[in-house]
Amino acid sequence: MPIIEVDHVNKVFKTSVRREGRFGTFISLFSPVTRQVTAVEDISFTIEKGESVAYLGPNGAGKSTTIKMLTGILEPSGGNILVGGGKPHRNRIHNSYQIGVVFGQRSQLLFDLPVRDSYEMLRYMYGIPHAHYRKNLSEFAAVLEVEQLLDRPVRTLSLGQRMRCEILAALLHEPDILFLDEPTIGLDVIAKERIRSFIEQINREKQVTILLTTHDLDDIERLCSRLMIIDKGNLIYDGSLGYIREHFATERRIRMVMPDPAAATVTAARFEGNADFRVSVQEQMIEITYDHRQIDTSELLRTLLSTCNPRDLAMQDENIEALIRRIYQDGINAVHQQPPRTAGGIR
Amino acid sequence: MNLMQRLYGLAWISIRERLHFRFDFFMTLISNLMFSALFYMVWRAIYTYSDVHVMSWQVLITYVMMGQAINFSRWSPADRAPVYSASTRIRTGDIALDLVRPIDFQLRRFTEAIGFFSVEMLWVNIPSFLLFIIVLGITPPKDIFSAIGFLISLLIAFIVSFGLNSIVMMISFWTTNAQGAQIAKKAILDILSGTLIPFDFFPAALKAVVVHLPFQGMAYIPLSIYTGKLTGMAMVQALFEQLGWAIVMLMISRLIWMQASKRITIYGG
Repeated sequence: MPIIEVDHVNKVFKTSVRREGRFGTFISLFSPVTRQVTAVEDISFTIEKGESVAYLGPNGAGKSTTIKMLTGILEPSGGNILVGGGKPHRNRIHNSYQIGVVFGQRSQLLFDLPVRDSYEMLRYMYGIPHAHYRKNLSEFAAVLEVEQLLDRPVRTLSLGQRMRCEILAALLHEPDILFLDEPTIGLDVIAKERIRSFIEQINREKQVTILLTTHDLDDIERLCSRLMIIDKGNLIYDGSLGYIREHFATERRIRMVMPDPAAATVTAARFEGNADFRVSVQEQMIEITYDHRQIDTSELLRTLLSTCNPRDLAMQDENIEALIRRIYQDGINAVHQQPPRTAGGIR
Repeated sequence: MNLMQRLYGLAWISIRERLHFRFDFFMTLISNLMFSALFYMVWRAIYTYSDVHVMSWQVLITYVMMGQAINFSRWSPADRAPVYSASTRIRTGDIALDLVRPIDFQLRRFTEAIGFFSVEMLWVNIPSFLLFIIVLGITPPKDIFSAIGFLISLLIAFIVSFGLNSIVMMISFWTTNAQGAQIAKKAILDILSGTLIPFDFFPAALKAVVVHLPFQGMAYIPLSIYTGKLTGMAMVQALFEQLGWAIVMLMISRLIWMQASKRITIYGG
């Protein structure tokens, strides 16, 4: 049985709108005008125990709303959500024992007290038995390398240190599911890496189910076998990152440095006429962009190398970040030129 | 761990949190003493230039100074627990984190208030009380029954105050700002709880009204027990009346909270 089941869920908010005109504000005080805003239109997915799933989408796409519904903070307007077999908003207290939550933008630690006191607070809140508490704290603190921080006031911690402490806080009561809302936001490369390797470890060793929202594609590559993309309240993709790379990232780029780029331009002109074939020259560097499904890469390279004499040559596949940006901007269909054959793919 | 142990532990954490601000308490103590001096002089002047004395000077000044020592209407750190921190959490959206915890939001605020109240007692109220006895020569409780009755009444007053503060706090759900309501509450309490002026000085009509309001539970009842105005059965009856108000205030705040929490889950706060 899946640990998370989301079945045709939607969420509509009512917001009040101010009336127009000089007395608008005043009139609205007594008879507010409301407008409906759909944050999540129709979403369905299931997550199995032990899975590690990334949840991606532009700002305002409905990511946080979905997380809030799964954690029981918000009630869905329609559809059904089951987390660990129960409805999260109906039985919030029961749900709170099985989930751990980290909001990258909010802190669950007591700002003025030593980190340890926040953990003590959580111990009392969740009623964690003393032996479990001590074991979990020492084990996680060692892996996250926060042992030296435990007696320091939270306000003196750097963002990276604090975030590691936050993640520890979310795991003390041994939850089955960990929700991470942008856990690496604003961190430097080393801090990000530490957090990633820890999350990976608890997912692998403790079979903690992970649902992670992020804007950082390295997070996904490192942590998540599965990727869901939400846009304008709808799930537009549910599958692997590899599938996206393989089927959507069709653009290749060859860069060559040579004394006389003009010769290469002539050679490259043979391939022109193909869609998406572009050549640009910048001093001694020539850059060729093409679609690898339309032009055979080995043939292109052979032709180029036989006619020109590059000092240096580099190949790049499409920047995955740029690709996701394109998916956000133009919708998945604009990017996707072949229908998917395997499981997952377009919704 | 059972629920009581958990609540006790949480209250302890709040004590630690509160003890962090020693300077804050020092300043609260000073402002408390300044206001006490002010009211002492005002009453001194009234009694010097007036012939009609509703109660004896000693009883009056004991009542008024004790009212300052246990002041529930002041903007004190003990108020801040349920009102200030909760309304801040609502405004910033941090309440989302409270809603994924296994301890009820209001219960958590209650343990916080108990922790803050204990520290406040230790650092502000008891020192003020001792100073008033030594410097101003106010009367200690008449006998052991008055002393015990006063302590019980003080605890119930704390609950009434918590209930009222919770209600005021919930207003921030709809207005996202509790400041205005907070200031209004303070003004109402100063007058209607009998902190500044004992009810005995009120016109008969007003007195008839205020003894049927919950606010008396925060000053008039505990202070009247302390000064020995309420003894024996009258004291017991007053304590039950106060307890009744505590329960009513808690129930009202509970109802408002349930409404508010429904609003959060439906509208997102």
